[in-house]
Amino acid sequence: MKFLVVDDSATMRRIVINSLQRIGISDIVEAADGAEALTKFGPQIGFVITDWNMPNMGGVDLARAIRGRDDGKTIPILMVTARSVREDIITAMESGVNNYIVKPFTPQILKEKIDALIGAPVAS
Amino acid sequence: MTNNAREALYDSEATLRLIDSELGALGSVAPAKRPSSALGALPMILEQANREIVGILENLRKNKTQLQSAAVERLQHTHSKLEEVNSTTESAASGILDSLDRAQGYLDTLDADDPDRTSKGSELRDSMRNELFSITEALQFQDITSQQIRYAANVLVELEEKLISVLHLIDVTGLDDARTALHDAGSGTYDPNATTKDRAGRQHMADEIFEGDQAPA
Repeated sequence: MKFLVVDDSATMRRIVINSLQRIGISDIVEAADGAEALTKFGPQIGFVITDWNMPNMGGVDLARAIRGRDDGKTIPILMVTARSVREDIITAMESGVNNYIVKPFTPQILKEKIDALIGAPVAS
Repeated sequence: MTNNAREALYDSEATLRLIDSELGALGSVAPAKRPSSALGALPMILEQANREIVGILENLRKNKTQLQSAAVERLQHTHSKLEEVNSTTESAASGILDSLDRAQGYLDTLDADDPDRTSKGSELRDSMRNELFSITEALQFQDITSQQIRYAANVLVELEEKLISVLHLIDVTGLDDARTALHDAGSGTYDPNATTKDRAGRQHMADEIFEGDQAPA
């Protein structure tokens, strides 16, 4: 399964990717914002991990755009963001995000959420 | 308020009081009995008022220059320092991640020399790998603090806007250039509430919402 990691911070992309590799996920593509993510999105992508605040297109708009596509109706979308106000979390859920991790996150939380969304534990 | 501003305010009040007093004196004299000398003094009074007003405007212009150099320029300097902090921490975090990747590579090489993991070093290598990953995890601070810094930088832009609006009331010369300098410097998205505090509590709230306990109506 190919993972798409979307974050405007290069540091955060590397940390998320390192965390994924640590739990055995190595098929990863990355994008610096929602607009770039959409150009890389397609049937080959099986899981999306996205930040919220990004230039050009943020994570909420990206989730809405993916849900609007035929090949994006059921793909798991996990938001990893510093935003943690209740209204923001609800907005993310309404946009089509399946689960939510607040930054700073631990690899354990990341693994738990991925396991829950794909319905089986990923290799560790 | 600066001393010059206080002086300008005092001068303007004094001028208004003078005009009010002179006009009052003119008005209290019945038209038929109004002495021609009072009307004759009017140009002199107006000339004096004009001198006072010119002086006040001159003081205001001086204040505008002082405010522009002391406040606007300092805001711009502080803004640029914040941008520099962001850029430096991002570059430093990237450098640390590079070093961590290299260290990870050295551990992989050591592991390759000990495929059966029989040496005492294999446990140490595992521990070291965990420590390296803890450092990677801790580097998330850079993303959070950069959002906090961008928020602070944005507050400075708003302050500058308000200050320039006040300065515009006095004199518009040169202010458009000053505004452009700070606006061009602002960049990046941020969450004004970004924090490293209470991660567990905030994650618990997100989990509650996504598990349906707090689902929107």
